[in-house]
Amino acid sequence: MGALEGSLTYRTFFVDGEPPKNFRDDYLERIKRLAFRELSPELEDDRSIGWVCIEHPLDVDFQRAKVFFNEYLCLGLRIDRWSIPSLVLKAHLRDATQRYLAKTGAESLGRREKEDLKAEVVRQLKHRLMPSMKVVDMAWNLNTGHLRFWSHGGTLGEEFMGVFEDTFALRIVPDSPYTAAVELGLDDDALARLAEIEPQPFVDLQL
Amino acid sequence: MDLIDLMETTRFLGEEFLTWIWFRSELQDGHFQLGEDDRLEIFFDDQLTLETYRAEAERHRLSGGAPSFSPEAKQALRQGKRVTKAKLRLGKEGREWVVTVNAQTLGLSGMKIPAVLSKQDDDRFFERMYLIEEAENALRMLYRNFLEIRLDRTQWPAELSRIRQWVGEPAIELPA
Repeated sequence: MGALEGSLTYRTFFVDGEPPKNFRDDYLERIKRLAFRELSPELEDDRSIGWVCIEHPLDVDFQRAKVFFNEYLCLGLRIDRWSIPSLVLKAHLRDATQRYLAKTGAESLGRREKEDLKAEVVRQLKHRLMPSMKVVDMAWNLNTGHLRFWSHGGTLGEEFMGVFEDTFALRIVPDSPYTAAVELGLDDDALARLAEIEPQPFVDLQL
Repeated sequence: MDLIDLMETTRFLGEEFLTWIWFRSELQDGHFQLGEDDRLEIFFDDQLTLETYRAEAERHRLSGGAPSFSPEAKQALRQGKRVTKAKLRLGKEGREWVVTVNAQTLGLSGMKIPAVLSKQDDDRFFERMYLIEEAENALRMLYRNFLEIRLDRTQWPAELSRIRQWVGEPAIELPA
């Protein structure tokens, strides 16, 4: 969240390269390929990540009017995760173990049986829970190549870079004192000097 | 050096930039000239973090009131700490933004923009983005001004000397 309303806390990235000619329909297809897919209790995946329309996190029907806002390409990156509280899992696993032992007459579970039983308990619990959902907005100014991603999280930022590059086949680099300087269009001499300068103390340490 | 190395080895510039803004803001009464007719006012707001270079354990987090004017903040500078995060109040053409800048990444957080006037959703989005970009552009122009001094072999030693003087003796006059 953030591009349309709410907190303005974001990280800027610079897109290296420009979209190809007549990119809009091509980009819609590319976005669809990495659209968010719902988690299912029947599948082993514990996490799902993908694009959603920025105005509604349940909407993956990507159309021009929902993705392109004049010079901006806007999307939400949705991340769902099954999150079963450990106490809940432990309690249900204990119950299931006791039932299994009573039913089979065995004294204890083997390693394989433990794993199978846990997988079955997790599957049943997933039917009774909703995955946690997180959506982070992205707004890419196609004219300037500046892209804002409404999160400061380092791990999520790296994952976002991967999803973006897989989707649009363009590299992005995060804002930093160095990349900001490059983006300002400093000449080669200035960039060379930038690479060689050292931090300087603001106090005379000899005093 | 590859890009990642260059990004890592120059992160200190963000700290120098914020400290430089503090220095200039105090001595120029918050007034900055961005271009010929483009002016910006910057004041440090109520949150300021100072750290020793590459030693996060030595961190001063000051909040409430006007920490940049506090004896603790100046003392932290005298101990060699540098600004790693600052909440800034930007004024431009009668409008005001408040934003916290992270020196290491230049990431912006908690930005408050001037009131958005548009009623329609799309128009509100464009106005919101315009206001964000206006603040960002002002900060980037200021960063350019800083780099022009920082990368200049003649200007920087003189500026550094003034900064050191300011750190030691707060009341100095900038040359005309």
